[in-house]
Amino acid sequence: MDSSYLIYVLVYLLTIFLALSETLPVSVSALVGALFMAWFGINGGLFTYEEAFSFIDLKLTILLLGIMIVVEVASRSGIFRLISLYTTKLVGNSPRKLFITLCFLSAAASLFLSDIAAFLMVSATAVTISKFLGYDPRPFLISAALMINLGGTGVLIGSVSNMIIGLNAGMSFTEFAEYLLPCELSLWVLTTAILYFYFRDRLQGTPREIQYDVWASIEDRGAVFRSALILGALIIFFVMGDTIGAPTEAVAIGCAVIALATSGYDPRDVFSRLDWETIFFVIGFLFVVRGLERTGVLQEFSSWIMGLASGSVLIITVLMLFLSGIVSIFLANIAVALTFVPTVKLLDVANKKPIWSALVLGTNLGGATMPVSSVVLVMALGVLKQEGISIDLGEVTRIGFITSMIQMVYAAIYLIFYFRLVI
Amino acid sequence: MASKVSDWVERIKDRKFKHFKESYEHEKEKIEEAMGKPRITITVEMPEGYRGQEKDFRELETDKEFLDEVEKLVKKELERKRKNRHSEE
Repeated sequence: MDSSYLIYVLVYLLTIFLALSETLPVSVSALVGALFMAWFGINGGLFTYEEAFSFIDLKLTILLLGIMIVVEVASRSGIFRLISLYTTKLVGNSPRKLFITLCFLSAAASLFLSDIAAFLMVSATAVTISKFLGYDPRPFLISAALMINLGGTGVLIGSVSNMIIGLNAGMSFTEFAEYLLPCELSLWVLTTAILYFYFRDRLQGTPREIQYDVWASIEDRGAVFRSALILGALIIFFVMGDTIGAPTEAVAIGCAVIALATSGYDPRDVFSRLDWETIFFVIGFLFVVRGLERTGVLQEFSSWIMGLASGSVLIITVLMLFLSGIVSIFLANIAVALTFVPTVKLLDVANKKPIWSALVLGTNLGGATMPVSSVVLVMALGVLKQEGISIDLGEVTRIGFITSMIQMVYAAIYLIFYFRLVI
Repeated sequence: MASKVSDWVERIKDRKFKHFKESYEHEKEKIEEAMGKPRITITVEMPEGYRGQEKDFRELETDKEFLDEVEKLVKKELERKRKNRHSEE
Protein backbone atom coordinates (compact mmCIF):
# COMPACT_ATOMS: atom_id res chain seq x y z
CA MET A 1 0.00 0.00 0.00
CA ASP A 2 1.24 3.43 -0.99
CA SER A 3 1.52 6.06 1.78
CA SER A 4 -0.33 8.53 -0.49
CA TYR A 5 -3.40 6.43 0.22
CA LEU A 6 -3.44 7.74 3.78
CA ILE A 7 -5.92 10.43 2.75
CA TYR A 8 -8.51 7.75 1.83
CA VAL A 9 -8.06 6.04 5.19
CA LEU A 10 -8.59 9.43 6.84
CA VAL A 11 -11.80 9.95 4.82
CA TYR A 12 -13.04 6.55 6.06
CA LEU A 13 -12.16 7.39 9.67
CA LEU A 14 -13.72 10.86 9.38
CA THR A 15 -16.96 9.30 8.12
CA ILE A 16 -17.02 6.93 11.10
CA PHE A 17 -16.22 9.75 13.52
CA LEU A 18 -19.00 11.98 12.15
CA ALA A 19 -21.55 9.16 12.28
CA LEU A 20 -20.48 7.86 15.68
CA SER A 21 -20.31 11.23 17.41
CA GLU A 22 -23.60 12.26 15.78
CA THR A 23 -21.93 15.53 14.78
CA LEU A 24 -24.02 15.11 11.66
CA PRO A 25 -26.94 12.73 11.11
CA VAL A 26 -25.57 9.31 10.10
CA SER A 27 -26.90 9.54 6.54
CA VAL A 28 -25.30 12.95 6.02
CA SER A 29 -22.03 11.72 7.60
CA ALA A 30 -21.88 8.91 5.04
CA LEU A 31 -22.74 11.25 2.16
CA VAL A 32 -20.05 13.73 3.27
CA GLY A 33 -17.58 10.83 3.38
CA ALA A 34 -18.68 9.76 -0.12
CA LEU A 35 -18.25 13.32 -1.39
CA PHE A 36 -14.67 13.50 -0.05
CA MET A 37 -13.89 10.02 -1.36
CA ALA A 38 -15.22 10.96 -4.82
CA TRP A 39 -13.26 14.24 -4.85
CA PHE A 40 -9.93 12.75 -3.76
CA GLY A 41 -10.44 9.47 -5.60
CA ILE A 42 -11.21 11.01 -9.00
CA ASN A 43 -8.65 13.82 -8.74
CA GLY A 44 -6.02 11.47 -7.32
CA GLY A 45 -6.55 8.96 -10.14
CA LEU A 46 -7.70 6.17 -7.83
CA PHE A 47 -10.81 5.67 -9.95
CA THR A 48 -12.57 7.44 -12.80
CA TYR A 49 -15.85 9.37 -12.71
CA GLU A 50 -17.56 6.52 -14.62
CA GLU A 51 -16.13 3.89 -12.26
CA ALA A 52 -17.48 5.82 -9.29
CA PHE A 53 -21.03 5.03 -10.42
CA SER A 54 -20.34 1.32 -10.09
CA PHE A 55 -19.77 1.94 -6.35
CA ILE A 56 -23.54 2.25 -5.92
CA ASP A 57 -25.02 -1.20 -5.37
CA LEU A 58 -28.29 -1.08 -7.30
CA LYS A 59 -29.37 -4.60 -6.29
CA LEU A 60 -28.97 -3.82 -2.60
CA THR A 61 -30.78 -0.48 -2.93
CA ILE A 62 -33.68 -2.15 -4.77
CA LEU A 63 -33.89 -4.89 -2.14
CA LEU A 64 -33.96 -2.31 0.66
CA LEU A 65 -36.59 -0.17 -1.05
CA GLY A 66 -38.75 -3.18 -1.95
CA ILE A 67 -38.81 -4.56 1.59
CA MET A 68 -39.41 -1.11 3.11
CA ILE A 69 -42.38 -0.43 0.80
CA VAL A 70 -44.03 -3.82 1.46
CA VAL A 71 -43.60 -3.40 5.23
CA GLU A 72 -44.85 0.21 5.20
CA VAL A 73 -48.00 -0.72 3.23
CA ALA A 74 -48.66 -3.71 5.51
CA SER A 75 -47.98 -1.64 8.60
CA ARG A 76 -50.55 0.98 7.53
CA SER A 77 -53.21 -1.72 7.23
CA GLY A 78 -52.72 -2.56 10.93
CA ILE A 79 -51.91 -6.24 10.32
CA PHE A 80 -48.93 -6.22 12.69
CA ARG A 81 -51.01 -4.60 15.45
CA LEU A 82 -53.67 -7.24 14.90
CA ILE A 83 -51.13 -10.10 15.20
CA SER A 84 -49.65 -8.53 18.30
CA LEU A 85 -53.03 -8.05 20.02
CA TYR A 86 -54.28 -11.50 19.02
CA THR A 87 -51.18 -13.19 20.38
CA THR A 88 -51.28 -11.37 23.71
CA LYS A 89 -55.02 -11.99 24.04
CA LEU A 90 -54.55 -15.71 23.40
CA VAL A 91 -51.92 -16.10 26.08
CA GLY A 92 -53.93 -14.58 28.91
CA ASN A 93 -52.97 -12.06 31.57
CA SER A 94 -50.34 -13.80 33.66
CA PRO A 95 -47.23 -11.53 33.70
CA ARG A 96 -44.83 -14.43 33.19
CA LYS A 97 -46.74 -15.95 30.29
CA LEU A 98 -47.14 -12.51 28.78
CA PHE A 99 -43.40 -11.89 29.14
CA ILE A 100 -42.38 -15.12 27.40
CA THR A 101 -44.95 -14.56 24.64
CA LEU A 102 -43.76 -11.00 24.01
CA CYS A 103 -40.14 -12.22 23.86
CA PHE A 104 -40.97 -14.78 21.16
CA LEU A 105 -43.35 -12.42 19.35
CA SER A 106 -40.63 -9.73 19.21
CA ALA A 107 -38.06 -12.12 17.78
CA ALA A 108 -40.53 -13.59 15.29
CA ALA A 109 -41.65 -10.15 14.11
CA SER A 110 -38.07 -9.12 13.55
CA LEU A 111 -37.49 -12.06 11.22
CA PHE A 112 -39.38 -10.30 8.45
CA LEU A 113 -39.69 -6.71 9.64
CA SER A 114 -37.04 -4.06 10.12
CA ASP A 115 -36.02 -3.65 13.75
CA ILE A 116 -37.87 -0.36 14.05
CA ALA A 117 -41.10 -1.71 12.49
CA ALA A 118 -40.95 -4.76 14.77
CA PHE A 119 -40.34 -2.62 17.83
CA LEU A 120 -43.22 -0.32 16.92
CA MET A 121 -45.49 -3.37 16.68
CA VAL A 122 -44.44 -4.83 20.02
CA SER A 123 -43.64 -1.78 22.15
CA ALA A 124 -47.05 -0.12 21.87
CA THR A 125 -48.75 -3.43 22.77
CA ALA A 126 -46.31 -4.22 25.60
CA VAL A 127 -46.60 -0.80 27.23
CA THR A 128 -50.36 -0.46 26.89
CA ILE A 129 -51.19 -3.97 28.10
CA SER A 130 -48.66 -4.04 30.95
CA LYS A 131 -49.82 -0.63 32.19
CA PHE A 132 -53.44 -1.67 31.83
CA LEU A 133 -52.79 -4.77 33.91
CA GLY A 134 -50.67 -2.90 36.44
CA TYR A 135 -47.36 -4.64 35.61
CA ASP A 136 -43.96 -2.97 35.38
CA PRO A 137 -43.43 -2.27 31.63
CA ARG A 138 -39.62 -2.11 31.93
CA PRO A 139 -38.81 -5.86 31.75
CA PHE A 140 -41.24 -6.25 28.83
CA LEU A 141 -39.84 -3.37 26.84
CA ILE A 142 -36.12 -3.97 27.39
CA SER A 143 -36.53 -7.70 26.68
CA ALA A 144 -38.55 -6.95 23.53
CA ALA A 145 -35.74 -4.68 22.28
CA LEU A 146 -33.08 -7.35 22.95
CA MET A 147 -35.15 -10.07 21.30
CA ILE A 148 -35.81 -7.87 18.24
CA ASN A 149 -32.09 -7.27 17.90
CA LEU A 150 -31.58 -11.03 17.94
CA GLY A 151 -34.65 -11.77 15.84
CA GLY A 152 -33.37 -10.56 12.50
CA THR A 153 -30.36 -12.85 12.45
CA GLY A 154 -31.71 -15.96 10.76
CA VAL A 155 -33.16 -14.67 7.49
CA LEU A 156 -31.77 -12.62 4.65
CA ILE A 157 -34.35 -9.84 4.98
CA GLY A 158 -34.16 -9.76 8.80
CA SER A 159 -31.84 -6.77 8.91
CA VAL A 160 -30.04 -4.42 6.56
CA SER A 161 -26.66 -5.93 7.48
CA ASN A 162 -28.03 -9.38 6.56
CA MET A 163 -29.10 -8.10 3.15
CA ILE A 164 -25.63 -6.59 2.57
CA ILE A 165 -23.83 -9.79 3.59
CA GLY A 166 -26.30 -12.19 1.96
CA LEU A 167 -26.26 -10.47 -1.44
CA ASN A 168 -22.47 -10.17 -1.47
CA ALA A 169 -22.01 -13.78 -0.38
CA GLY A 170 -24.32 -14.86 -3.20
CA MET A 171 -26.61 -16.62 -0.72
CA SER A 172 -30.22 -17.23 -1.67
CA PHE A 173 -33.03 -16.73 0.87
CA THR A 174 -33.22 -20.46 1.63
CA GLU A 175 -29.46 -20.97 1.80
CA PHE A 176 -29.16 -18.09 4.25
CA ALA A 177 -31.92 -19.53 6.45
CA GLU A 178 -30.45 -23.02 6.21
CA TYR A 179 -27.15 -21.85 7.73
CA LEU A 180 -28.44 -19.37 10.27
CA LEU A 181 -32.06 -20.03 11.24
CA PRO A 182 -31.30 -23.08 13.46
CA CYS A 183 -28.82 -20.97 15.42
CA GLU A 184 -31.29 -18.12 15.74
CA LEU A 185 -34.16 -20.33 16.92
CA SER A 186 -32.04 -21.94 19.62
CA LEU A 187 -30.84 -18.47 20.65
CA TRP A 188 -34.49 -17.38 21.08
CA VAL A 189 -34.94 -20.06 23.73
CA LEU A 190 -31.59 -19.38 25.39
CA THR A 191 -32.05 -15.58 25.48
CA THR A 192 -35.66 -15.76 26.69
CA ALA A 193 -34.49 -18.05 29.50
CA ILE A 194 -31.73 -15.59 30.49
CA LEU A 195 -34.11 -12.62 30.40
CA TYR A 196 -36.78 -14.51 32.33
CA PHE A 197 -34.24 -15.50 34.98
CA TYR A 198 -32.94 -11.91 35.20
CA PHE A 199 -36.36 -10.24 35.46
CA ARG A 200 -38.28 -13.02 37.23
CA ASP A 201 -38.74 -11.06 40.50
CA ARG A 202 -40.27 -8.17 38.63
CA LEU A 203 -42.76 -10.28 36.72
CA GLN A 204 -45.24 -10.16 39.55
CA GLY A 205 -48.85 -9.11 39.81
CA THR A 206 -52.31 -10.53 40.09
CA PRO A 207 -53.69 -11.29 36.64
CA ARG A 208 -56.61 -8.97 35.94
CA GLU A 209 -59.37 -9.78 33.49
CA ILE A 210 -59.37 -7.60 30.41
CA GLN A 211 -61.68 -7.87 27.47
CA TYR A 212 -60.87 -6.26 24.19
CA ASP A 213 -61.86 -6.52 20.59
CA VAL A 214 -58.71 -6.78 18.51
CA TRP A 215 -60.55 -5.83 15.32
CA ALA A 216 -61.64 -2.53 16.90
CA SER A 217 -58.15 -1.23 16.18
CA ILE A 218 -58.55 -1.86 12.44
CA GLU A 219 -60.09 0.67 10.06
CA ASP A 220 -60.18 -1.40 6.88
CA ARG A 221 -60.38 -5.21 7.15
CA GLY A 222 -59.88 -5.58 3.39
CA ALA A 223 -56.50 -3.84 3.68
CA VAL A 224 -55.45 -6.36 6.33
CA PHE A 225 -56.33 -9.32 4.09
CA ARG A 226 -54.57 -7.76 1.09
CA SER A 227 -51.46 -7.15 3.20
CA ALA A 228 -51.54 -10.72 4.50
CA LEU A 229 -51.69 -11.99 0.90
CA ILE A 230 -48.77 -9.84 -0.22
CA LEU A 231 -46.63 -10.73 2.80
CA GLY A 232 -47.45 -14.41 2.21
CA ALA A 233 -46.55 -14.08 -1.48
CA LEU A 234 -43.30 -12.32 -0.58
CA ILE A 235 -42.22 -15.16 1.70
CA ILE A 236 -43.33 -17.90 -0.74
CA PHE A 237 -41.45 -16.28 -3.64
CA PHE A 238 -38.37 -15.75 -1.47
CA VAL A 239 -38.39 -19.43 -0.53
CA MET A 240 -39.06 -20.50 -4.12
CA GLY A 241 -36.54 -18.02 -5.52
CA ASP A 242 -33.98 -20.71 -6.35
CA THR A 243 -36.53 -22.90 -8.14
CA ILE A 244 -38.21 -20.22 -10.21
CA GLY A 245 -35.01 -18.28 -10.86
CA ALA A 246 -36.20 -15.06 -9.23
CA PRO A 247 -33.47 -13.13 -7.42
CA THR A 248 -34.31 -11.81 -3.94
CA GLU A 249 -34.27 -8.13 -4.95
CA ALA A 250 -36.58 -8.83 -7.92
CA VAL A 251 -39.11 -10.56 -5.62
CA ALA A 252 -38.93 -7.67 -3.14
CA ILE A 253 -39.49 -4.90 -5.67
CA GLY A 254 -42.15 -6.93 -7.51
CA CYS A 255 -44.15 -7.39 -4.32
CA ALA A 256 -43.62 -3.71 -3.46
CA VAL A 257 -45.16 -2.63 -6.76
CA ILE A 258 -48.15 -4.97 -6.26
CA ALA A 259 -48.57 -3.71 -2.68
CA LEU A 260 -48.61 -0.09 -3.87
CA ALA A 261 -50.99 -0.84 -6.74
CA THR A 262 -53.52 -2.73 -4.63
CA SER A 263 -53.38 -0.82 -1.36
CA GLY A 264 -55.16 2.32 -2.47
CA TYR A 265 -52.82 4.40 -0.30
CA ASP A 266 -51.36 7.61 -1.65
CA PRO A 267 -47.85 6.52 -2.76
CA ARG A 268 -46.46 9.88 -1.66
CA ASP A 269 -47.53 9.08 1.92
CA VAL A 270 -45.93 5.65 1.70
CA PHE A 271 -42.69 6.99 0.20
CA SER A 272 -42.45 9.74 2.81
CA ARG A 273 -42.48 7.12 5.58
CA LEU A 274 -39.61 5.02 4.21
CA ASP A 275 -36.35 4.91 6.16
CA TRP A 276 -34.40 7.17 3.82
CA GLU A 277 -31.79 7.75 6.52
CA THR A 278 -30.74 4.08 6.27
CA ILE A 279 -30.89 4.02 2.47
CA PHE A 280 -28.64 7.08 2.12
CA PHE A 281 -26.32 5.82 4.84
CA VAL A 282 -25.87 2.54 2.96
CA ILE A 283 -25.29 4.32 -0.37
CA GLY A 284 -22.81 6.82 1.09
CA PHE A 285 -20.88 4.45 3.33
CA LEU A 286 -20.67 1.80 0.64
CA PHE A 287 -19.13 4.42 -1.67
CA VAL A 288 -16.49 5.21 0.97
CA VAL A 289 -15.70 1.50 1.48
CA ARG A 290 -15.49 0.81 -2.28
CA GLY A 291 -13.05 3.71 -2.59
CA LEU A 292 -10.99 2.37 0.30
CA GLU A 293 -11.01 -1.06 -1.30
CA ARG A 294 -9.23 0.42 -4.35
CA THR A 295 -6.30 1.53 -2.17
CA GLY A 296 -5.46 -2.00 -1.09
CA VAL A 297 -6.00 -1.28 2.61
CA LEU A 298 -8.73 -3.90 2.89
CA GLN A 299 -6.52 -6.40 1.05
CA GLU A 300 -3.88 -5.82 3.73
CA PHE A 301 -6.50 -6.23 6.45
CA SER A 302 -7.59 -9.47 4.82
CA SER A 303 -3.98 -10.72 4.62
CA TRP A 304 -3.50 -9.78 8.29
CA ILE A 305 -6.50 -11.94 9.23
CA MET A 306 -5.17 -14.81 7.09
CA GLY A 307 -1.76 -14.53 8.76
CA LEU A 308 -3.18 -14.29 12.25
CA ALA A 309 -5.29 -17.40 11.68
CA SER A 310 -2.58 -19.23 9.73
CA GLY A 311 -5.17 -19.84 7.04
CA SER A 312 -7.36 -21.93 9.35
CA VAL A 313 -11.07 -21.57 8.52
CA LEU A 314 -11.93 -22.42 12.12
CA ILE A 315 -9.81 -19.58 13.53
CA ILE A 316 -10.92 -17.10 10.83
CA THR A 317 -14.58 -17.94 11.54
CA VAL A 318 -14.26 -17.45 15.30
CA LEU A 319 -12.12 -14.34 14.79
CA MET A 320 -14.66 -12.87 12.34
CA LEU A 321 -17.51 -13.56 14.76
CA PHE A 322 -15.90 -11.84 17.72
CA LEU A 323 -14.17 -9.08 15.75
CA SER A 324 -17.34 -8.02 13.93
CA GLY A 325 -19.33 -8.47 17.16
CA ILE A 326 -17.02 -6.26 19.21
CA VAL A 327 -16.78 -3.58 16.50
CA SER A 328 -20.61 -3.62 16.25
CA ILE A 329 -20.78 -2.54 19.90
CA PHE A 330 -19.34 0.83 18.92
CA LEU A 331 -20.25 1.18 15.26
CA ALA A 332 -23.56 0.73 13.43
CA ASN A 333 -23.76 -2.88 12.25
CA ILE A 334 -24.50 -1.69 8.70
CA ALA A 335 -21.11 0.06 8.62
CA VAL A 336 -19.42 -3.05 10.06
CA ALA A 337 -21.05 -5.27 7.44
CA LEU A 338 -20.08 -2.92 4.60
CA THR A 339 -16.46 -2.81 5.79
CA PHE A 340 -16.05 -6.53 6.46
CA VAL A 341 -17.78 -7.76 3.27
CA PRO A 342 -14.88 -6.83 0.91
CA THR A 343 -12.44 -8.16 3.53
CA VAL A 344 -14.14 -11.58 3.51
CA LYS A 345 -14.31 -11.53 -0.30
CA LEU A 346 -10.55 -11.00 -0.43
CA LEU A 347 -9.75 -13.89 1.93
CA ASP A 348 -7.88 -16.66 0.21
CA VAL A 349 -10.12 -19.44 1.51
CA ALA A 350 -12.08 -22.00 -0.53
CA ASN A 351 -15.07 -22.41 1.80
CA LYS A 352 -16.29 -19.01 2.95
CA LYS A 353 -19.79 -20.05 4.09
CA PRO A 354 -18.80 -20.36 7.78
CA ILE A 355 -17.04 -16.98 7.62
CA TRP A 356 -20.04 -15.25 6.01
CA SER A 357 -22.27 -16.84 8.66
CA ALA A 358 -19.90 -15.65 11.41
CA LEU A 359 -20.10 -12.13 10.01
CA VAL A 360 -23.92 -12.23 10.02
CA LEU A 361 -23.97 -13.45 13.62
CA GLY A 362 -21.30 -11.01 14.79
CA THR A 363 -22.91 -7.91 13.30
CA ASN A 364 -26.35 -8.85 14.63
CA LEU A 365 -25.46 -10.11 18.09
CA GLY A 366 -22.85 -7.49 18.96
CA GLY A 367 -25.29 -4.69 18.23
CA ALA A 368 -27.27 -4.87 21.47
CA THR A 369 -24.40 -4.86 23.94
CA MET A 370 -24.75 -1.20 24.86
CA PRO A 371 -27.82 1.05 24.76
CA VAL A 372 -26.41 3.36 22.08
CA SER A 373 -25.17 0.54 19.85
CA SER A 374 -28.70 -0.67 19.19
CA VAL A 375 -31.40 1.45 17.57
CA VAL A 376 -34.16 -0.56 19.26
CA LEU A 377 -32.61 -0.18 22.71
CA VAL A 378 -32.44 3.56 22.09
CA MET A 379 -36.13 3.42 21.09
CA ALA A 380 -36.98 1.44 24.24
CA LEU A 381 -35.30 4.08 26.41
CA GLY A 382 -37.19 6.77 24.49
CA VAL A 383 -40.53 5.02 24.98
CA LEU A 384 -39.89 4.66 28.73
CA LYS A 385 -39.02 8.35 28.98
CA GLN A 386 -42.13 9.24 27.01
CA GLU A 387 -44.22 7.19 29.44
CA GLY A 388 -42.56 8.93 32.40
CA ILE A 389 -40.86 5.72 33.60
CA SER A 390 -37.26 5.96 34.79
CA ILE A 391 -34.69 3.25 34.09
CA ASP A 392 -31.13 2.69 35.19
CA LEU A 393 -28.87 2.91 32.11
CA GLY A 394 -26.32 0.71 33.88
CA GLU A 395 -28.88 -2.05 34.21
CA VAL A 396 -29.74 -1.89 30.50
CA THR A 397 -26.03 -2.09 29.65
CA ARG A 398 -25.56 -5.00 32.07
CA ILE A 399 -28.39 -7.12 30.66
CA GLY A 400 -27.40 -6.21 27.07
CA PHE A 401 -23.80 -7.20 27.74
CA ILE A 402 -24.72 -10.48 29.46
CA THR A 403 -27.09 -11.61 26.69
CA SER A 404 -24.75 -10.55 23.86
CA MET A 405 -21.73 -12.33 25.31
CA ILE A 406 -23.64 -15.57 25.97
CA GLN A 407 -25.14 -15.39 22.46
CA MET A 408 -21.70 -14.88 20.88
CA VAL A 409 -20.17 -17.83 22.71
CA TYR A 410 -23.15 -20.00 21.74
CA ALA A 411 -22.87 -18.79 18.13
CA ALA A 412 -19.16 -19.74 18.03
CA ILE A 413 -19.98 -23.28 19.25
CA TYR A 414 -22.83 -23.50 16.72
CA LEU A 415 -20.62 -22.47 13.79
CA ILE A 416 -17.88 -24.89 14.77
CA PHE A 417 -20.26 -27.85 14.94
CA TYR A 418 -22.65 -26.88 12.14
CA PHE A 419 -19.87 -26.42 9.58
CA ARG A 420 -17.80 -29.27 11.09
CA LEU A 421 -14.78 -27.01 11.51
CA VAL A 422 -13.09 -29.17 14.13
CA ILE A 423 -12.67 -32.22 11.91
CA MET B 1 -16.95 11.73 32.56
CA ALA B 2 -19.95 9.55 33.47
CA SER B 3 -22.30 12.51 33.22
CA LYS B 4 -20.84 13.44 29.81
CA VAL B 5 -21.48 9.89 28.52
CA SER B 6 -24.96 10.01 29.99
CA ASP B 7 -25.66 13.38 28.28
CA TRP B 8 -24.34 12.00 24.98
CA VAL B 9 -26.61 8.92 25.27
CA GLU B 10 -29.52 11.20 26.15
CA ARG B 11 -28.88 13.41 23.11
CA ILE B 12 -28.70 10.46 20.72
CA LYS B 13 -31.79 8.93 22.31
CA ASP B 14 -33.83 12.11 21.93
CA ARG B 15 -32.76 12.63 18.31
CA LYS B 16 -33.51 9.06 17.26
CA PHE B 17 -36.73 8.82 19.22
CA LYS B 18 -38.11 12.05 17.78
CA HIS B 19 -38.99 10.39 14.47
CA PHE B 20 -40.34 7.25 16.10
CA LYS B 21 -42.53 9.11 18.61
CA GLU B 22 -45.35 9.98 16.21
CA SER B 23 -45.75 6.38 14.94
CA TYR B 24 -45.55 5.05 18.49
CA GLU B 25 -48.27 7.41 19.71
CA HIS B 26 -50.47 6.44 16.75
CA GLU B 27 -50.05 2.71 17.48
CA LYS B 28 -50.71 3.21 21.17
CA GLU B 29 -53.86 5.17 20.44
CA LYS B 30 -55.18 2.37 18.22
CA ILE B 31 -54.43 -0.28 20.86
CA GLU B 32 -56.02 1.76 23.63
CA GLU B 33 -59.08 2.14 21.43
CA ALA B 34 -59.27 -1.65 21.00
CA MET B 35 -59.06 -2.01 24.77
CA GLY B 36 -62.00 0.30 25.21
CA LYS B 37 -59.95 3.31 26.23
CA PRO B 38 -60.30 5.87 23.45
CA ARG B 39 -58.51 9.20 23.64
CA ILE B 40 -58.99 12.61 22.10
CA THR B 41 -56.51 15.29 21.07
CA ILE B 42 -57.55 18.89 21.49
CA THR B 43 -55.61 21.87 20.18
CA VAL B 44 -55.74 24.86 22.52
CA GLU B 45 -54.52 28.25 21.38
CA MET B 46 -52.91 30.60 23.86
CA PRO B 47 -55.59 33.02 25.06
CA GLU B 48 -55.32 36.72 24.36
CA GLY B 49 -53.73 38.95 26.99
CA TYR B 50 -50.95 36.63 28.21
CA ARG B 51 -48.05 37.89 26.14
CA GLY B 52 -44.70 36.96 27.65
CA GLN B 53 -46.09 33.76 29.16
CA GLU B 54 -45.58 31.56 26.08
CA LYS B 55 -43.20 29.25 27.98
CA ASP B 56 -45.68 28.83 30.88
CA PHE B 57 -48.39 28.06 28.34
CA ARG B 58 -46.34 25.40 26.48
CA GLU B 59 -45.34 23.74 29.75
CA LEU B 60 -49.00 23.03 30.53
CA GLU B 61 -48.82 20.21 27.98
CA THR B 62 -46.80 18.10 30.44
CA ASP B 63 -47.93 19.70 33.72
CA LYS B 64 -49.32 16.84 35.84
CA GLU B 65 -51.44 19.12 38.04
CA PHE B 66 -52.98 20.80 35.02
CA LEU B 67 -53.64 17.48 33.29
CA ASP B 68 -55.37 16.19 36.43
CA GLU B 69 -57.60 19.27 36.33
CA VAL B 70 -58.43 18.58 32.67
CA GLU B 71 -59.27 14.98 33.56
CA LYS B 72 -61.63 16.22 36.30
CA LEU B 73 -63.25 18.56 33.76
CA VAL B 74 -63.72 15.65 31.33
CA LYS B 75 -65.33 13.54 34.08
CA LYS B 76 -67.64 16.43 35.03
CA GLU B 77 -68.70 16.91 31.42
CA LEU B 78 -69.31 13.19 30.87
CA GLU B 79 -71.35 13.03 34.09
CA ARG B 80 -73.44 15.98 32.93
CA LYS B 81 -74.09 14.34 29.56
CA ARG B 82 -75.01 11.06 31.23
CA LYS B 83 -77.51 12.84 33.53
CA ASN B 84 -79.01 14.76 30.59
CA ARG B 85 -79.45 11.48 28.68
CA HIS B 86 -81.18 9.85 31.67
CA SER B 87 -83.53 12.78 32.14
CA GLU B 88 -84.43 12.77 28.43
CA GLU B 89 -85.27 9.06 28.67
